[in-house]
Amino acid sequence: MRNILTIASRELRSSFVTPLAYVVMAGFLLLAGFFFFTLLQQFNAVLLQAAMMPDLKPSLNEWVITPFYQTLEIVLIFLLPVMTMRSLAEEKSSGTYELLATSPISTVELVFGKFLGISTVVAIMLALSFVFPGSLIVVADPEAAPILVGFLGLLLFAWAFTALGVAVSSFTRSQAVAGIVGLVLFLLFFVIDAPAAKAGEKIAEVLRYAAPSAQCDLFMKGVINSSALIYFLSLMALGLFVSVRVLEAQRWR
Amino acid sequence: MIKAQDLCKHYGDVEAVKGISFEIPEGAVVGLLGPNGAGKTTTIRLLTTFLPPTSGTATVAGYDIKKQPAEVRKHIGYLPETPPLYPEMRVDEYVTFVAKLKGVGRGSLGHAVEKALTRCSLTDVAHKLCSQLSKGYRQRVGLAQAIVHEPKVIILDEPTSGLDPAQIIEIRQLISELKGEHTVVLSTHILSEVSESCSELLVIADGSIALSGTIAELTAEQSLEQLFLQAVFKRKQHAAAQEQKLAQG
Repeated sequence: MRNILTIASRELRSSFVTPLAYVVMAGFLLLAGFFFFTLLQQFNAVLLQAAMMPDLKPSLNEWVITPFYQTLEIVLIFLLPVMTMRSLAEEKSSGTYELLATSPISTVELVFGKFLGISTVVAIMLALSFVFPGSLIVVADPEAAPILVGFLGLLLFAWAFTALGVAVSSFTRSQAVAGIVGLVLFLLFFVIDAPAAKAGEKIAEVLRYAAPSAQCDLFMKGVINSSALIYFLSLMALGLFVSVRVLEAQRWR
Repeated sequence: MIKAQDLCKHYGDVEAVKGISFEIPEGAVVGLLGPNGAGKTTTIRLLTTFLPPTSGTATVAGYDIKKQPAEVRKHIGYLPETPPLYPEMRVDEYVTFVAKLKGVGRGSLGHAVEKALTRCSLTDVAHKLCSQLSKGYRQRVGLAQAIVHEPKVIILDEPTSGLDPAQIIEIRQLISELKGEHTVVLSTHILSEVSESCSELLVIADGSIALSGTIAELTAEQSLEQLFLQAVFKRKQHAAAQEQKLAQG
């Protein structure tokens, strides 16, 4: 445990002394703010229309919060590869991996430490963006549960992709390769349910289950869904497992 | 302190280290000498457990590199060819990080780091970022991380390559200070380095041991240059003869 924390805290400190984390965070918040503003504008227009029909009451959750989280998922798909591409590729290309690999820490501890460090940065980034939906709780009266649980879903979504990004980074020494392969795989995985409409019943069911955004949507209803929770935890486990195995296999080559 | 038995390493079809055996007593400073591409770095990577051997094994500080790699890692300090520094970290931060990794207890952490920094004359630059340091200082930080946990065995891969003469002398002085307390293995392709700082010599050529022994014994009759050239030349002839045999058979 001590070794995991040593690696994680180094990762965390390094993230905040180099500009990369700040740039990604600033970009994320800028985009989040822009989309939030646009959604509120749309909601305003809807409210005006609804004023003419007394029995129609548009909900803030349905019109602003859920689409806001769904948009953030896409933003994350593009930005997370930038946060994870360095993780193991840079260690290998700069030679520091040789230090880590000849220190009395296991590959599991190394990978967990890396993941813990980066996912903390990701959590900080997401927590900052919570100011937008959070402000609605203060100034309006939306349902609080979908906002909070939906945010948890988004966090799990981000962490799952962080673990997968670390796994991609374990394959290569090149950060650029890790970043691009990560982005392509993330995008592909994100739209994996696209062919479901035309596929056979069984396959469609599997594809719909595999789609991360569909799992995330379950949280937006405001209840912690255990099957979605297991889905995201399994993705994290998969990413970490692959990273460990790849690093170990590389030694034997 | 270090004992290798038939240590072999293949990269695909290439035999980088071809079954070498040697023994290094405690407290010795051993120069691992050889032409470029002879297998020095591979041998070092095997001893430091960075790479697993294809066959054969070795014990370092009494632990088997195959069966107890975690124990071996606790007892070695290793400076790879390029010092494994994190450019964005401060020197003292970095050495503390490595000390933690190597398992130095929380209570003795501050003391161990301070001692390593003092020994490598780094106290003046302790608050500088690693990326701001000159090559000579980087090498010294690399040495500081290798000795911070007081390992029994210190392994240095070409510690003086790319340094100016004054810096080379500084690093050599540091190495000679380590003599006695630690067993030191240093690889180099500079002959004078061996006669300056080492007590024993191990010449590797073409993945095999071409010559070994204490410097005093070996240089009693011949100069180091002659010995080295003869050993490497013999090794080359031997390899050529074997190749011929293979071609004929």
